[in-house]
Amino acid sequence: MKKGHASVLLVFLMLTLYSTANGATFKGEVEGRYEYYAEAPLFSEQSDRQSQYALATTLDYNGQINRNTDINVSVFGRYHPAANKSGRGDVRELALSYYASQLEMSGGMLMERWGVLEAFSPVDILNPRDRVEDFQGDIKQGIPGGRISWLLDNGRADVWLLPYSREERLSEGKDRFRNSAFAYSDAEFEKGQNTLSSAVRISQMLASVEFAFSYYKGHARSPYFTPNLEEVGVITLQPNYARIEQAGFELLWIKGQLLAKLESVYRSTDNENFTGLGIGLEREFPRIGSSKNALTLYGEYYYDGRKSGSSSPITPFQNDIFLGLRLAVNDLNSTEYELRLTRDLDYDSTFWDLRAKTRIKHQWFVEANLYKFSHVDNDPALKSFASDSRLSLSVMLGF
Amino acid sequence: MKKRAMLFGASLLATFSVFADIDRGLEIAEETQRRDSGFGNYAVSGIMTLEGPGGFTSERKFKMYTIEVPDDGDKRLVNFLEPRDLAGMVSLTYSHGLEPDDQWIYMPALRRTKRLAARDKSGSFAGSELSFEDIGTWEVKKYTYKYIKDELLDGKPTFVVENTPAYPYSSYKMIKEWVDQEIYHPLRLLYHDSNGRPLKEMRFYDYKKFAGKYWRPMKMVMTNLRTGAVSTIVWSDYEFGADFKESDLNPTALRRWSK
Repeated sequence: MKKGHASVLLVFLMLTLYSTANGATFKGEVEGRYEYYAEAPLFSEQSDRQSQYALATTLDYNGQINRNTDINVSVFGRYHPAANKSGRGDVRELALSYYASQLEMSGGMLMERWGVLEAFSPVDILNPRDRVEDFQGDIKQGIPGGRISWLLDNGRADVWLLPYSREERLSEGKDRFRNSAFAYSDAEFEKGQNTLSSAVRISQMLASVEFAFSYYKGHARSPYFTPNLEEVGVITLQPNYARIEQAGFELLWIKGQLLAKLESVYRSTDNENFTGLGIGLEREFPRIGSSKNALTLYGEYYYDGRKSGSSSPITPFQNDIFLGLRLAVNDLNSTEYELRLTRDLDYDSTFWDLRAKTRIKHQWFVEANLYKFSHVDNDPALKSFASDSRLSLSVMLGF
Repeated sequence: MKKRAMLFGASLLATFSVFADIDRGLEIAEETQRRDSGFGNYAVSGIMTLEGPGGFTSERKFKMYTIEVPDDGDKRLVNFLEPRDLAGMVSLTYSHGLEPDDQWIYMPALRRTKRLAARDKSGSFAGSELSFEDIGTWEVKKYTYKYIKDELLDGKPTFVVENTPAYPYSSYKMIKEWVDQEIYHPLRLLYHDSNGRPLKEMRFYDYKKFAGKYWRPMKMVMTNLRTGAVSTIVWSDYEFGADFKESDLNPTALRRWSK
């Protein structure tokens, strides 16, 4: 560990200890997970264990340093014997924040989220994804930097300065859900990993309409790959992170119980400019009949104009529809079911994602999750997952 | 002729009587609001126990922050503390009388603030028998009122008033209310579904006076009359004039509240 990083961690540790005296909340979760893969893996290096086990924990801490200043820490760790790296952790958030009535400032390891859509947010650019934890990219890694925000009358303006770019975490070796048969060599950042990235976002609410404009300049958060011949017969893929500029727009419009959503981006690199777009509708039925069941339906369409074979990263959402259904039973155990279907209109591939979660005792939960890939052989974004349909069962203890 | 005149007189009397009952109902509602206005803000802690068929129970802990907005509906933020899967979730509602409310929730796992469509407020509040409509702030203009009679409830004199929602998307046809004649706050609410049949009953217990003026219940019990399921909220630590401002209840800053 570099001396500078150690000093920063020491300062945060001292602030964390100090903040416990002024009121702190500490919570966490321990998860035991069983995974069952029905098919043998596609690539020879991948673990061929049909049954796999993992133990994971998340710890979240919030401490008040004074009335206007707090510290947030969120760390994650997983032990997964069948994975390429059996033990792995990440500091997803380690941020010192100051709040005034119209001003916010945060610094450290940040976790940010932009966007209004459900399946995928084209505008969401700041944090790199953790594709090993979740190949769909919903789980993200922390990003070092600072944010200053102004709270406006009906919105906010945020500016980020991010002095260091992190790599997207990719499956390799023994991992399932690998993008490619090849190993990865060291990543290359076009302007160097320590080059500053910056972003600005302005959001506004006007009665039933909410919208936001964003602009990001820095390294891409997803890589494109170039093959390297390491020695005779050994090819590796090098992840390359290009400098990009991305302008984003988000729109949410509420009409009765219907939410209409739109996200669009225009991204430019030295080699290519393209547009990405997502539109969606969400309809909630808060009570089904005389029950307390609440049903939410989603329908979304995604388009992405990047050309195949371009130097931009492959996206699974280039011409896709997403349909989702969430049933909240609203019982004593907070039982929820979710069915998510993504269909690629170019390649006729389908991805099914079925989730169910309930509480079995005060702080104990169980969760089941089924991933099923169909007809993905021709889909460049999903074909490497063709044998990765999976059932997982988790038992979680919250504290 | 004499009979007709008598009938006309009786119908006129009945009409005047109905108008008088409506005026009386509105007077009671306005007096309730007059006595409760000017509180500025308050914070309160709640423990909600859900009791299902078979006696199984589940508990939710939360803190609720309410800001009085004189020319519009009040603003209310609920910060969930337990159980673990709800902890850190924050909901914020801007009440708007006859217009649909504005509502947002902050989901800590996703670090995401999500706007909700809040026209239909019949959805369950955290799995309880209370709906978002029941937990929302009360405004005079949300209902029309009809005084029915005086009645003793648990030995206390009450006004019995029929509240008919003026909000077109209400899930209730009518709410019958028993108003304590001394403190002008409800002791019992009987919710009638869209067909006019009794659906749920809320009882209020142990009113205490805060800041020398404002009465608040220490316990509320909602019973689903169809299923027998019961949700009880025990309130504690009421704090009037608490240390938060209207600008703090900002949907773009909900992350500050999530602990």
